[in-house]
Amino acid sequence: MPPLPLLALILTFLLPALAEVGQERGQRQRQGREQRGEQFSESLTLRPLLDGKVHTRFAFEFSAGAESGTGREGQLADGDEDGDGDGADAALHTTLLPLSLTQLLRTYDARELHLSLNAGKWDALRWGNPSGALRTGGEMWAWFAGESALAEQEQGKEGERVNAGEGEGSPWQGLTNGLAGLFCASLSSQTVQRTTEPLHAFRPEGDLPSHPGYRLFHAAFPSESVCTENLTPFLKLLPCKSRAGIAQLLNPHKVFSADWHGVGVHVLWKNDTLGLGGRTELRLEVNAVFDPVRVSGKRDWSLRTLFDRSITRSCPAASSSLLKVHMPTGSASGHLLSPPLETLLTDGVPEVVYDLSQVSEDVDISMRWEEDKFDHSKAQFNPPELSIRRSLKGSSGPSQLSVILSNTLPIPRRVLYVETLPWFLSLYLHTLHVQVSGVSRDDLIQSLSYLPPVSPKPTLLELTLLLPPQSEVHITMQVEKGFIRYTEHQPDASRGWDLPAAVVFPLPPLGAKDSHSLPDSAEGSQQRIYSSTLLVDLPTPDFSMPYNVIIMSSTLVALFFGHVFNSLTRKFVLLKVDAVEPEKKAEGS
Amino acid sequence: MANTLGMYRTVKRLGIPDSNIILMLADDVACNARNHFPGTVFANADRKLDLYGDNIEVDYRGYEVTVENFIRLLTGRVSPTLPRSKRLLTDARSNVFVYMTGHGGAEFLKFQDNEEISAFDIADAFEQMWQKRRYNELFFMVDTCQANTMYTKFYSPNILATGSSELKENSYSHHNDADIGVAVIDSFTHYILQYMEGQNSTSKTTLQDLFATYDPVRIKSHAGVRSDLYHRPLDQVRITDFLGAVSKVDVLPLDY
Amino acid sequence: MPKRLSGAAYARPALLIPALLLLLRFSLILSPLSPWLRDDHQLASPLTSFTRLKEGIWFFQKGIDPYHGGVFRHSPLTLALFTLIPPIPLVSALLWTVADGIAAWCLAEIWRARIAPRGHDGRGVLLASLYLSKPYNFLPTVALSSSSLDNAFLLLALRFAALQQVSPSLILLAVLSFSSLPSILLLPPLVMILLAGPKPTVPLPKYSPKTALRIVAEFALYMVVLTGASRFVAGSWGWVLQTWGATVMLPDLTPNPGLWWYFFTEMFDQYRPFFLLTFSLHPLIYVAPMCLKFQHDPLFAFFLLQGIISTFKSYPTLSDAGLYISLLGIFPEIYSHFRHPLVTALLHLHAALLLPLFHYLWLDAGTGNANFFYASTLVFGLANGSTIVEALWAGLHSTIGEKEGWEVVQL
Repeated sequence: MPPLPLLALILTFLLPALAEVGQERGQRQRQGREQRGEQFSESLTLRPLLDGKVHTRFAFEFSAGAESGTGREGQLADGDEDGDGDGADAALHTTLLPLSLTQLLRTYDARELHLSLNAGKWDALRWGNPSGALRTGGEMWAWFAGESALAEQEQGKEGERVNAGEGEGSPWQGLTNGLAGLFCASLSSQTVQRTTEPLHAFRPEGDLPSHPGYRLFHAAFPSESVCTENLTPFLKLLPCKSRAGIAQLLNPHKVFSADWHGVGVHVLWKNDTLGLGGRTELRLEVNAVFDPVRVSGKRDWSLRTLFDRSITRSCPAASSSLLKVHMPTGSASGHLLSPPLETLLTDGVPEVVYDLSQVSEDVDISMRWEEDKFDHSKAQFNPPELSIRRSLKGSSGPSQLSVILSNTLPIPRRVLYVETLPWFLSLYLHTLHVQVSGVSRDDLIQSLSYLPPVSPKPTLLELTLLLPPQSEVHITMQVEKGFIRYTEHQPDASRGWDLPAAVVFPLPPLGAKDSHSLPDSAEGSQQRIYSSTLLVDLPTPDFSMPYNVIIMSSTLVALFFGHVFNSLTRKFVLLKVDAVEPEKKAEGS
Repeated sequence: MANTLGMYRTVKRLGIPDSNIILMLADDVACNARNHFPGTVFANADRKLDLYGDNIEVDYRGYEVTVENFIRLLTGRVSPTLPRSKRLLTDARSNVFVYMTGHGGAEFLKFQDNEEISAFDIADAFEQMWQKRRYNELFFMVDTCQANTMYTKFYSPNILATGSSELKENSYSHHNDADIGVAVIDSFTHYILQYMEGQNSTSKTTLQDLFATYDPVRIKSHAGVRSDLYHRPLDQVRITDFLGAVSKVDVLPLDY
Repeated sequence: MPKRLSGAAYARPALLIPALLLLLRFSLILSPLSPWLRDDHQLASPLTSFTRLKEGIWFFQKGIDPYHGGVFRHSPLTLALFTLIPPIPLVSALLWTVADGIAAWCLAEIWRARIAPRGHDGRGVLLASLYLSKPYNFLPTVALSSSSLDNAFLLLALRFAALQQVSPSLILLAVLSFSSLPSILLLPPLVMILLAGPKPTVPLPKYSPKTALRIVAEFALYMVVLTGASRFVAGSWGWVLQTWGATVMLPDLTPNPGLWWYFFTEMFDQYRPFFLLTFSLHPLIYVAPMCLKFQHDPLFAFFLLQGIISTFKSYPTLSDAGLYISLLGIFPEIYSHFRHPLVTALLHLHAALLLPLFHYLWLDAGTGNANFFYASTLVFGLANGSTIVEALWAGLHSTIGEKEGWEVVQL
């Protein structure tokens, strides 16, 4: 045993070396991640809006390349490469990409997935369009690989859409169930009634690999709520969870009291331009629109007042951690951002970017306005380029669906309007009329694709329209509210059914070159404009009456039958009235 | 809501992880637009403890909470694509605690305004669980009106049951919160939770001690216990056998 | 001494009344009243609604299969008709008015065939006028419900049968059964009328089985040909499930004055097939007994069966009840044998008042609930049922006749 001083000496040399080894290990890990092409970056964008509210957007972006075992040609992991029939044999070697999500997508062979759960009211006229986010409720759409989806298909009749893709054993149902379990959302309870397969809408935002046969499934869940139980698993997918980095700000009590809030999950596959495989991109988003004016009467905000938390540590797994503040332009009173930093111009938007990758103390960004109280009347709003208003009118008899699309630009615009309604609402397409300022303009409809509802699947209407410059196009059609069975009503039947939002996709003008898409499809367009959801009141039967109804109707039938039977089968005889000689004479049987 | 969430928090505090808890909430209360305190559910008018918290996983919510889903969950006859978080992955060595609350009556409990589950349904589901060896011991607690009738139909072994009120008796809520506008917790559950506040994962208190705190005057109804199907004497069963997850550690010799 | 005018002479100025009624119809269809009534649940069912007809034609003209969804449930023959005749207001008004006119004329013709060669012809015009003025037939025509067309086909078939012209009556019945499947149950009495004539005969007529079989075979041939034609028009077999299938399977639970819709709205899913079967087969059990009992007067059997079909149809409208009440006019000899005519008449009045009222309260005002309207359909069903039972009893009694000092008793 070496003497003590010698031991101490050795230790003093060893310890730094060990530390360095540790650091090297960390660096190697990071390098290894980068070598494998994995990257995680987080950002928070704060955008003060013209009416004093603040739109905050958290974006957690992961990306993993082919080297990390995400495989080639759109697969999230290597498939059965050695062809020995045992399926996906290569393990998924990712450290940052959450395995629970990617494994789910791999099992069902989903190439692209978008899931968003939102709640609240998004004021499109004042706040613009939140680049693709749905306004209210839940929405999920996914592109599935051809082989597995086709393998589930049954032989369909000609001209009829094969519906086996949505059946019980199908990848879509499986994916919905899996995501419902992962994100604690009740997506799977009404899947068949909410799923459609749009032809032109919801084109993939990423790249789909070359072999054909991809199927799109889209489902909208307008009555889905979003709450802490959705945020909890969401945060568990992040590498630093909610302990470090920007995710520390996600306080559910504050986020879910915002005027509009939501979470979103987006998974894409992007082809590598060199053709060497590609990258899987995963984006987790949390959006919230806060209202400081409601709390204090002034537009001042800070991270503390908005989230009741501050950022104390940076996330070491993040390659970049940025906090961006869009500087408001064109407002009457001045504002002061602290800590101050120079304004950069990004994509025409002036913004201040704070780098949060090295955080040593509590970070609290704040903006103060030089005014005593916010004056709503001084705010000037620019109407958005394209907006949609939808309503269902009529109380008795057939109702009327009325949609107003307004185009404020001085050029005509082509749009794709997608409407899905549950199966009990029948659209009467022969009553579809388009009017501009009272003048009938049915010629504005360029194409129409309609899938009638077959219980319980919803109806799907895809219209391509040309909106004249600076106009409001008014689309109306008759809708009949159906009568559904007692067992088909929801538990809270008197509340009514929520109708999913209609979606408007701005399209490129006709003639624009688009290599692999239909001329009417919204290829590559990330812009989606959603209308509000509607609530339709269906006439309900009396839910306490099944036995009574069966009994009463059956009684009536039985009464009738009894009388008729009686009359027809009993013999009529003539009976002499006087008592002397009762003579029986059967006549007329 | 606060009833269930109170039991959820208690059970989590005593060590059971989310993966071993199935939470079914039929209503969206915490994030409902009408909730004055978004994202929170209180069980007490002093609003000191938020039961919803920052970390909660609700497995079945909204329209998914149906009698069919509940019985499928218990018996294990689920669709192959149902995710693991929604399955009851118990085996013959699991102690299962089932807590149900809501509106109910003589031998039924109301689900979602249009459905009922009857005491017979639950009894049969438990029997299926027994035959499929899905529990070692089962503790059933129910807080509804006429709750004790819910456990009168059980016939499988190793089931211990307790309910908040007798036949023809109502169960009452405990107190209201004027700002929230509704009663925040029910009497029976309130007193159970109050007792459980004094317990932690190392407590050795038994179920007999818990049942001994039942006071019909305080609870305003006659809470009952059914232990004839249960083979162990109640003064030897620890509360943490059901409501806590206490791992036993065996220290092995070095050269094992 | 003024000469007694013959019945025919009475008829001529009286023809003005039906003509005026037809003109009134024509103008009302073109007025704003028609669109307002068009989707009324009592006047137009999912099988007969004009709005759905226009939707189906629109799809057909665009090349889409109109039978794909659940909106269009008219027969392919109707579809074929309306591709020749565009469904614009003027043309449809003319078509419906002409159909009603034909129906009224046929009613008069049937009466004449029954009472010939004896006189009292003026009653024919009376019957026609009553048919045209009855709100049960008037309103569905104004609402452009294709049940008016169905009535016309039925009365035309009956008229040809009364005149013992085999082929026209069979073709018309075949066409009718495409729009209204239960009408196929009217084949046996129709065959009997073709064999025996429209008048009650004593002694019992001899029905030759060979002729009957030949007639039935001819009918089957017409059905096959028309089915093929429908298949050709529709382009696939989807129409079978949507038209005939709808009558049996009841996919659309829109309220109507019948007994099926609420029964199957409240039905548990497990029992649905059983009760659908029961309700569908129910009118079938009356065919044989009625025909046997009224061998001497097959027209009466036809009338009774038509009443039963109207009452227990899956998608009835008010025009079905209107039809058989009109047919009651052909048998004045039974009126003296009614047991409680006042009760039956009042039941009809009650139902006629309650149905629109409770429909409005449930669906428009929102203050009533579905049970109110259901109760009024029960009253309506009771009224119809009791009319049939009354007519049956009276028909049996009138056959037996009366004899001084003897009493008719049922064993």
